[in-house]
Amino acid sequence: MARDGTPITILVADDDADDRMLIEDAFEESCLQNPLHFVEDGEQLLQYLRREGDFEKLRDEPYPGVILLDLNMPKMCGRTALGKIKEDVNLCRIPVIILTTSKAEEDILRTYGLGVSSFITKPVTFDRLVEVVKTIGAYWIEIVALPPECTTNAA
Amino acid sequence: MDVMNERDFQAVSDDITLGTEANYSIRQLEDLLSGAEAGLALFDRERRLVYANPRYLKLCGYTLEETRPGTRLEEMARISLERSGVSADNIEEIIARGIQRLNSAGGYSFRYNAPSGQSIYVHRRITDEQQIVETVRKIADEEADAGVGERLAMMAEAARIRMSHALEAMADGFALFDADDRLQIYNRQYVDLNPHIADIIAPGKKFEDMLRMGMSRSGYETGGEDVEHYINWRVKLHQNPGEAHDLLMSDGRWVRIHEKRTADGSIVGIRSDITELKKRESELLATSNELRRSNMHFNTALNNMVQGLCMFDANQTLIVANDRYLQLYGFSPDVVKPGITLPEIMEYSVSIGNYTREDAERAKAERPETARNRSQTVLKQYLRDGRIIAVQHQPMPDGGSIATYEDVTELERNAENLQQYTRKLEASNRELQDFAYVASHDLQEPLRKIETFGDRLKNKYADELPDNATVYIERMQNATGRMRLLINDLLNYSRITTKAKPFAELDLNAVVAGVLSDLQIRIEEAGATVNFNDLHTIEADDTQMRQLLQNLIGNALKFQREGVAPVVTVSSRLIEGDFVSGIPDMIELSIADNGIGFDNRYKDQIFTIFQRLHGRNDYEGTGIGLATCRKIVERHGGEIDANGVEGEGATFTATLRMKHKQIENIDEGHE
Repeated sequence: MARDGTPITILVADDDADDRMLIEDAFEESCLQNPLHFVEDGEQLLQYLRREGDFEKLRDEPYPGVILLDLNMPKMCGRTALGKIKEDVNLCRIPVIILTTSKAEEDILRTYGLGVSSFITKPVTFDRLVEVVKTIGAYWIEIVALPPECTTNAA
Repeated sequence: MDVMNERDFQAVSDDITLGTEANYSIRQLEDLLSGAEAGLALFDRERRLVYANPRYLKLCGYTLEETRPGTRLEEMARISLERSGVSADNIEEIIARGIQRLNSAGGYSFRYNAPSGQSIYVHRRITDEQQIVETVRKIADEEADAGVGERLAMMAEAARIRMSHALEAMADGFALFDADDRLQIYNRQYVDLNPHIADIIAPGKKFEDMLRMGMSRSGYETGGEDVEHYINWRVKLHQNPGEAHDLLMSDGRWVRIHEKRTADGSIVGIRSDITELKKRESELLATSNELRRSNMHFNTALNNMVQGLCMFDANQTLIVANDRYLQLYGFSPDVVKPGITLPEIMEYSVSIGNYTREDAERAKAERPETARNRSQTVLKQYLRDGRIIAVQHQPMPDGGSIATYEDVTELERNAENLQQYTRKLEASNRELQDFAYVASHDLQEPLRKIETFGDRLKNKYADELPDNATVYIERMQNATGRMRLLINDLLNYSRITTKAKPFAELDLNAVVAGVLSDLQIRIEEAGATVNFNDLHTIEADDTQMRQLLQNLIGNALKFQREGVAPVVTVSSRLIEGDFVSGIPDMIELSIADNGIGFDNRYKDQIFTIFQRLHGRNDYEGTGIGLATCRKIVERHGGEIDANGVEGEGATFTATLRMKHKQIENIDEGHE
């Protein structure tokens, strides 16, 4: 819970509609009340964060408190998007959690190298997914102190 | 044989020198005598004339007819005395007295008015060899004193000594036989060359007698010829001399004999020791035979070669070419023969259409490079008729080169086809592996969704769904579970090559122990016993060995007979290879069980992917396990086999290489 009482926004970047639906279900099942936003590829993700295009209307909103990022996406993959986020002085402090089907060691090493906060392989069963979401909620929302731009209005 | 011809010539010129020398010696002797101021006549011990010089004839008033060699001294005296007008009675007396004086006193002198009208002074003397030397001198008016005879005798003796010195000075043996074939004059060298009859050589000896004696003492090598026959031949040759002939002495020396009949019927013989010459000759002959033989072998070898072969000198002139070379290029032997140059051959080759002028120019441009490198080069020549000739140039130390030509058309085509085939095979293999890997990988994703949404449906709406719907969902989920197994097995199967690891030393005991610990629960549940000990240590991929043993032991536990406690035995034995034949050392790993077994008719099927012998309801499985086993064993250089007896059990045997060559260690995977 943010300091001013407004729950932080959680942004999910995943091209798979099924997965987006399952994540939404899992959040519901976990009884997390935080606003859950979705983008479908790397480009959209950057537009969202930079408040460009369709996301201009969010200009006054705070940045998402946590980003759940899939690696394999069309247009711009998660790896590239991650690099751009970490290069951006305004965005680089937002915690990014990789949530992907990949188990490749190379991906794990590379993304931690780029500064991700956690690397989670998508659970096979829904129950496990719910557990993962609950853990994320308990840790990133209840325990961790986040940078101010994620909890207060950007303006 | 060029070399031999030169040598032959040498030998011939030696002969010429020898002959010239001999002739010269005889002539010299004649000059010596005929040029003498005094008349000179020589008679043998039988008092037959051997030689008389022209001066003698002139002073005494004899004709040539009257002084034929062999004419007796008495005969000649008789003619002269008759011609001088001495009465017949007196003639015989005078002759008899003269001979008597000669024999008793060894010599005498007398004045005589010769039929020529000359007043002459005659001196007769018997030599040590019992020959008679007669010297005749014209008496000058003022010379009438007794001292003249003395001087004349001295002159004759001097002439005789000079002649004898001249003969002795000759390098060759000299012998003069009179018309009666009796030895008259000879020198020391003649005796030296007939050592076996040295004791009997003496003036007056007949040639044939000496020869017979020589034969009886085995002085000559007759080459096994009949003695009489040989003597006949030799005597005939002696009496009708012609060409020089060579004689082999029993002491190994070769003597060359030049014999010549002189105008007066005598036979002059010159003998030369040609042992050295003969030795050289025979050596040369042996060398030449050897050369001829090796040349013959060389030619035979050359013309029976599969490859064409040419040798060029430093100026690119052809020295030798074999038949195959001519045949390869369709060259006429009348054109391409020693002496033609390489550029000329290429020109000719262009003219008969073997290749184009441009090709030839290009090849010519490449050649200096080859020559400069002084190293062996191989280039391929593409003839216009489609044949490919591999040309190999090998430089020689003298600046020339040897070129071999081989028709590699067939070889090249085969190699090309093989390469193409290999490339295609490799590509399709890779595609297949990629497909298996990607397919199984990507199939997992939707499968996960089906499972998940199935779960969601069942959990979230369990109360609202009718019973039938729940059953359907369960069946659906069973199917997806099986599909997951299939996909996992397929992924493992494709990973045998895509995720292969290098081979390393591996103790199979440890691998089996690990597998058994994984299968612990199943072993306990089945009440099974798994025996193993003293397994070999081999070079292998540890993950794959574990997979192999897990599959095989797992199968042995799975296909158990109802009511029989499974007993599984894992063992290994060494199959020694043969280093010489290149057969490596292998081990044979066996996994034997006492389960349901199988009919051996199906033994080939069980290793085929997706092939199953049992219904899924009886025994679980995807039909990929044994196919995976086979692939693993094959990657380890071995084969897998199975033997079953229905209702008694099955034994799976896998042969595996003990060691692997380095190259096979390279990871074949590419992902």
